[in-house]
Amino acid sequence: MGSMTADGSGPAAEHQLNRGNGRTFAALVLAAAIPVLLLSGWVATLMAQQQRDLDRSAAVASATRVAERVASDIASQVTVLEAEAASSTLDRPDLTDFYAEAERLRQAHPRWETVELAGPDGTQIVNLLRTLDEELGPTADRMSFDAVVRTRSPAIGGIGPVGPISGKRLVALRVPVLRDGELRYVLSVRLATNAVSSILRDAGAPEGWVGTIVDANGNTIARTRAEAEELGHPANSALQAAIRRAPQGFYTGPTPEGSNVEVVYRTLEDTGGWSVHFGMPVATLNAPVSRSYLVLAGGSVLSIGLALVLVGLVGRDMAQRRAGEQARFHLALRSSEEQGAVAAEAAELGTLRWDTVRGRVSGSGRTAHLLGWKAVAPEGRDSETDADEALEAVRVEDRMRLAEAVRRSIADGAPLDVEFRIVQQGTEPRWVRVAGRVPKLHKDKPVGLIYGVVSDIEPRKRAEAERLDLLRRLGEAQENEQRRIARELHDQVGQTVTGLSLGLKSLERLLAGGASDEADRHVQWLQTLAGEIGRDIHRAAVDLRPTALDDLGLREALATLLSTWSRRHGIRADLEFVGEAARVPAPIETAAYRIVQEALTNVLKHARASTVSVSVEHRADEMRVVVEDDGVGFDAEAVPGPPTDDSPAKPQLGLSGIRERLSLLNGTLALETSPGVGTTLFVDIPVPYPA
Amino acid sequence: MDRIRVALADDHPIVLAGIRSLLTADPGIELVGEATSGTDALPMIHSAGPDVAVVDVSMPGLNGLELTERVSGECPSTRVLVLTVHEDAAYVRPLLEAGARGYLLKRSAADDLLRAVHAVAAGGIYLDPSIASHALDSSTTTGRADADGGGEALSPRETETLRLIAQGFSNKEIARRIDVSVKSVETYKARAAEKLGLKTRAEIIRYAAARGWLDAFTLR
Repeated sequence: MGSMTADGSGPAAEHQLNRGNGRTFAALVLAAAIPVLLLSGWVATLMAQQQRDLDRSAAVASATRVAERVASDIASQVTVLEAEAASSTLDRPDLTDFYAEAERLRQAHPRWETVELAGPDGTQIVNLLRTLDEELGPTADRMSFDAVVRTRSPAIGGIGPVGPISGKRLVALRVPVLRDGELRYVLSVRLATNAVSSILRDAGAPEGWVGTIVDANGNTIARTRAEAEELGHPANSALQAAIRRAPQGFYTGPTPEGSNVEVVYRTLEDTGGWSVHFGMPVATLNAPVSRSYLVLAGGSVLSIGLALVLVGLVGRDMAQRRAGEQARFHLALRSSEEQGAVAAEAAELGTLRWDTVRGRVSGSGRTAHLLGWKAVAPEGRDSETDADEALEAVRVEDRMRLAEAVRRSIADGAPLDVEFRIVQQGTEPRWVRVAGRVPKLHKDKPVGLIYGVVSDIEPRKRAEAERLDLLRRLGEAQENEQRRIARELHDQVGQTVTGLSLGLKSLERLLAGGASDEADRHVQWLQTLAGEIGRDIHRAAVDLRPTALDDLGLREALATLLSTWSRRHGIRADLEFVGEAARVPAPIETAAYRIVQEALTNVLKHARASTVSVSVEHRADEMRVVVEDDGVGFDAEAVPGPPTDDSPAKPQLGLSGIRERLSLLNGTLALETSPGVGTTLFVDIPVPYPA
Repeated sequence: MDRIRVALADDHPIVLAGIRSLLTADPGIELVGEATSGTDALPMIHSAGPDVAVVDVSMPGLNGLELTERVSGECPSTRVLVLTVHEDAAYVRPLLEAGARGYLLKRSAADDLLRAVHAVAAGGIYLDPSIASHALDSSTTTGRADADGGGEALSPRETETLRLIAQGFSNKEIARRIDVSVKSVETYKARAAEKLGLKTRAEIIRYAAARGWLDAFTLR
């Protein structure tokens, strides 16, 4: 039945199985994807950070390189200028020659805006932007000029103020012109405005970085971008603070390219405090890192999402599995219950649940019907009734027995098996049987509960009763027949034989006169014969049915039986009666007599006894017959085996006849024996009160 | 009065005829009446007034026992000799108590009837020899009722066991009653029986009855 149900839900189950498998696969993929995502995000971040560090170190390298280039470029120009300062044209001085020479030099150096010669007091003497004879005025950018005068060594100026002659802000390279240890002049080169910028550009700034050269005063000398606007303007305070703090390093500050720019800088050597700065907006520099952070964050969010989905999937899977499990369990339970119900129905059994704690009894419809409950539930539902009410339907004589059986079963946990009669109005009492036990589930703690089945044993009981009745009638018929034959033997055949022997006696007397000895012998022989026939007939009659049993009662009949038996078999026999000597109903006397007879037969066959003792006790409501022998006995435990041999340990065969007789009278047989001690039969026959 | 007057009552014609021919053959016996049923026999005996009435025990109508009672009550001069097929000694006592003076088995009648009639007529009591031996048997079997033993005294347990045995309880039942094992009961029984020299249950019952142990029990 279980397999049938499973087949019925086959496709659905398969589908569910597929779905379940798909979900498991998805869960596995998710579980694998989450670490992959997180790892790749992390790797991307690492790579971006590495990239940033690379960019930064590239910028540092560029800054160093550019600083060196600019420094060397400036230095070479200073060298050129120093060479010029040592020119012989300035010895006497020959200003015209100097002018021409300077003009040649300027031609050779396109970045030179002009060459200027000034006296120690700062008055310009020669300026290539003017002719020799023109009045020139003081030099611009006194700071670097004063430095040369003071140190008598070359100086590099910052971006100077707007020159009165050039009309531009120019950078000055100044060298002293010394003659005989005395400062005669200061020779200067004014670099074109974009000259330094072109050096910067030529030196090569790293891609994406903005390069700036700032003089010692913090003014911008050159710039790779937005040169026109920024040139000559003071650089921002962060830059100036950084320069003041250290000759090289990093700082972050606002620039025209953005408010938050990361800058790497180097101070140039021998340039009077120039510094090179390469800057990049932090945002730009960090963009890949930020992007990677975003990726990482996105990956994390996605992972969390996936994890949530995974949890959901797994949870759902587990829930579904549990549901499936539960469904299977329910199915199994239902199918088992169904099987039980089918079996119970097929056997026409009712199921019963007896709750002694609540005092309630419930059961199937069949139970309710069998036990004669008034309230019968609709088809398929269990009926329930009060325990007292259920007992009410039981016949009065059986009620105590049923209650006692239930009580004992609950107390001992022993199986309940009790047969009783149900009385319903308008019908004959019906026999039913209840068999069950305390559920094993609650074995440990007493629950006062019994599960059982109710079966209709009326047909069996009826058949049993019929069989017993038949047996009884058969026994009676046999007894009557034996009695009749015994009487016939006594009263008819016996009398005739008596007549015969009397006649023979008369004949003997008649012959006594003068007949031959031959005739006498014949008559005597016939007389002996007749006597033997008489004895045989008597014995046969007594064996069939002792007339004493009918005429004189059990006591006399047994006494005769025992003395005859004792004499016949040479075994001492002893009889004692206890109790009233009143006659009991004939069937009981007959049974008792026959039972003793059979017991004696057993003793003869098996016991090898020397003494048999029979006692009959007439109690108030029963008769107890005890037959005791002092024979070999047997081991009661070892007995009932198949009657294969003829050993003394097989008196059971003889007992079956006794049991048969007792069953007709509701009597009981008990047997006590042990090897060497002998065997004692205890027979109890209930005696109804004389009406 | 030298001839013995005898009346016959037997429902069986052949037996009746046989007895008749036997009796008539004896010159000392005079047959004074015959009847073939108990009911006929009583008036016949009344009217004939025989010295000896030979009566069959089992007759239709009035049976031998009743007839014996009536005759010995109503005709004291008539002595009743019972003729019967019953060899059971059990039948004898009631008949003797009813007044019969002789008890003769039919199968020995051919040989012993005349002797019995003469014996009874002479005022004696005649018992068939085989019946007499039965009676002797039963008297020996019941003869040990007063077996005192006189040996050692019984222990309370042994006494109790013996009493319960006499009352017909099985060893198992006794064990349950006095709360000992079945083996112990067997031991008590064996020891008590040994002390008193009682061999069988019936002897124990008789011993108990003699001690009055069963009186209360019987009254129940």
